[in-house]
Amino acid sequence: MSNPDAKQWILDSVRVLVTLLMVAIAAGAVYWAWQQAKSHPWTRDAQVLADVVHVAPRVGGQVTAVHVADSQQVTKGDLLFELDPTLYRQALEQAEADLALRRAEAADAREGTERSSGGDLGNLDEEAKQALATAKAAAVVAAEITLATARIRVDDTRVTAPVDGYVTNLQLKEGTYATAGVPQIALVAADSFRVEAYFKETDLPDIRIGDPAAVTLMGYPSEPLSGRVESIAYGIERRNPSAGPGDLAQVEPMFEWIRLAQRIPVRIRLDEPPAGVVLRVGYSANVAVNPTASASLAVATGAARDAGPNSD
Amino acid sequence: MPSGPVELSLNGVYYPPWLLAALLGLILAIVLVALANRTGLSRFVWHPPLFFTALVIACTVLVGTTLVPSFFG
Repeated sequence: MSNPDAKQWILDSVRVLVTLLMVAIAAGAVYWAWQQAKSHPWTRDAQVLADVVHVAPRVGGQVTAVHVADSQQVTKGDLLFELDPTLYRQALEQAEADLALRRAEAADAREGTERSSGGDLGNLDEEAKQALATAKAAAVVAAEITLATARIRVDDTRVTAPVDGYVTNLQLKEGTYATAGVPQIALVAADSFRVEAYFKETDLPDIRIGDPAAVTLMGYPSEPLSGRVESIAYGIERRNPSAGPGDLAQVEPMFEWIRLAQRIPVRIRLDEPPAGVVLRVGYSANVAVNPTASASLAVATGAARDAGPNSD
Repeated sequence: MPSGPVELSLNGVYYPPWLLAALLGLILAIVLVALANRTGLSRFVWHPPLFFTALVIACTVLVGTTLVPSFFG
């Protein structure tokens, strides 16, 4: 009807439209961010792990010398510690003496058969002598094996590193009696360092074996490491266990609306870590699978910090 | 170059990156609203609290994607 009314109506429409547009933009942004976060899963629940080799002597005895210090790096074959070899040396000497005795007996028996084959004693007697010679020859072989075993036992009193690694939490002291087969030294295998990330089961559909991963250690926040997804675990401990094999499951009757996604170990094989980053078992890590390539503030400042000392 | 995921820490207390993004987004939104009020653009807003809430969310996502590390990981 009147011009001011129409103007007011247009202004009102514009105001409503502008506001709704803003709401739509916000909704779209949230949806987009959600999708991005879903396709780039990351977790703060991760740690550095490595294989631990437990070194046990193959023979028992008192430790006479420890040749490594705590946290020392050793290479495969390095001497770790020695046991008292006296008894094993004596066993070796005894085996040598026994072998000499057996050899002499065998030679005697052989000569006996040769002598009798020349003479005309009964065939029966000759067969018995032949059997005796065979038995004596077998005794020589047995004595040789005993000697070889005794020699290995003497060598086993010197315990060497089975892999390249680091002596960790050394608690071995001279004078300790080391029992055969009981571990005395733990070696962290040098080539086995990896990162175990515990991803929520809701993240797993977006993680595939071979996917690139970025790892940041808590101690080195400006030096991201790169790696790849090596494996995804096929199971974790059950929550409703049975008392024993063959028993029925004990099912918790309580089940809440609030429940948490289970976390599954995802193993990340690291590429070569940058110089200056030392990996230790137990380090806390953040892991992102299929990381975004966005130029974020942290990387920019991190790069500037990295470039700083080089340009000096 | 892919960036590594980082947590933000303040004296040993760790907090999520989106918290920083939300804080920066809120500041940006307040500045924008102050500008709009001064220039008179606020006339074109129908429901100021709703508009402001939406603006804060949009600013948070914008700041998060461009400035804050590990907003998505």
